[in-house]
Amino acid sequence: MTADFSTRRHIGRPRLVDLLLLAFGLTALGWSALAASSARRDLETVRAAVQQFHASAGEEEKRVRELEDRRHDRTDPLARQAVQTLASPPPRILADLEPTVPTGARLEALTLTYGHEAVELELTLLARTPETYDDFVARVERSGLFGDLAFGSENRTGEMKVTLRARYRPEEGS
Amino acid sequence: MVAFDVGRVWGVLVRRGLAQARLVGAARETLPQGALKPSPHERNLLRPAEVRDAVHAVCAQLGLAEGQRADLILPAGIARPVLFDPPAGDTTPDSLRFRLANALPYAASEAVVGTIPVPPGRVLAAAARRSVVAEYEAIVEAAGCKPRRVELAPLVAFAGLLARPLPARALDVVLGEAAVSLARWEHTGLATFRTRLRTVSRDDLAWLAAEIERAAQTNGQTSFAAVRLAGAGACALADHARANGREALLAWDLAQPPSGMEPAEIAWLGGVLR
Repeated sequence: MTADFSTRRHIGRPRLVDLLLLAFGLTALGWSALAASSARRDLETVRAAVQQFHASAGEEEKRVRELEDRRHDRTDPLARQAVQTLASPPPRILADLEPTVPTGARLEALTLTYGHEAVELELTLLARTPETYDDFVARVERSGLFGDLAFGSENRTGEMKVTLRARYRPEEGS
Repeated sequence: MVAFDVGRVWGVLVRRGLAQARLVGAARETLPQGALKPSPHERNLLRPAEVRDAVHAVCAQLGLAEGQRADLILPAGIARPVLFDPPAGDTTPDSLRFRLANALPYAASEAVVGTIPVPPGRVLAAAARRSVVAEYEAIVEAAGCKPRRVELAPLVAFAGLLARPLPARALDVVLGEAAVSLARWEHTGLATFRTRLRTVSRDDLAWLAAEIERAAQTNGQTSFAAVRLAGAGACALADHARANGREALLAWDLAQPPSGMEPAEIAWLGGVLR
């Protein structure tokens, strides 16, 4: 084919190579559209996950802030009890109590009550002699960790079994 | 594809493959004398009804259905192709129209222009008057076909010839019934190109032979290797040239040409079957 001198506008019959190129172009366009659509879906999924994460992080932050507030709120008994539990766990109380028990005496029972203001202890001590018991009382008082001591009835002949109440005061210990 | 010349209308069916086009059918109708007279600016179809009937007959012989699209090949003589170097390779229609304007016997705005590339870097350009092209389009439409592309016989012929370059000092001669184009080859490709009107009153063969000798002259001396001929009267002119000691070739041939067709006598055939 050479130059076209036609005076009319016409659309020539497409050649095979034109059709192949058109098919190739349309296929490429289709693939691009699919890839773009897939990428968009991925982006939306990631956005949703990020949004969910932000929401969850916000809730956690809110919960932590509430707990913090409750910790400092002395009017909230539950919060105070929780704070007492965290500050004075049973292993720590036992560890503080252990040096006060002299040789020749042993703890028969120990009950811990986590109250609103402090931890209340009720312990039963078995001492071989009255002197041993006195030594225990002296040690408890010296430690400064236990206050408001209330002694039960005593039988100071031979082996002694005494019930004793106290309030745990770790912040005042030596 | 419907092709016109002064004395005949050709119809050919061409099947285009990936590598090459193939001729699958051909039909010819003779036009009465004076029915068609190629001219760059005047009315070409002097007896349109007879031309329309010839086109219709050709389409019928080829089995073309009513309304089927057909490309047109217009005869030599309606445009005068020019070989030139486009400045900065500019071959836009406006640039070509400006370049060809001085040689047109009508307003440049009425020209439909086109080119074929001529390596290295030159173009063969032609301008056809819009009203002349429209005449041919209208007659094909009146014959029942739908006109599509319109090409010029000399440009189609040279498109085929340029695909098979000749050695230096050889000539290509494209013969239309109304005009003849002569091109001389040099080492760098096509070097000169000229078109002459052909008149029936002359001793045609002698006049053509003289034109060939003139086209082959460089610096006042005639020196050419061979002449390659295509178009109306190519076989007779080849014989004439050989009889005068010149090497003459026919531009194209077909292994099995349709009945009544001499391939070398159809100038545009090689360009169509590229």
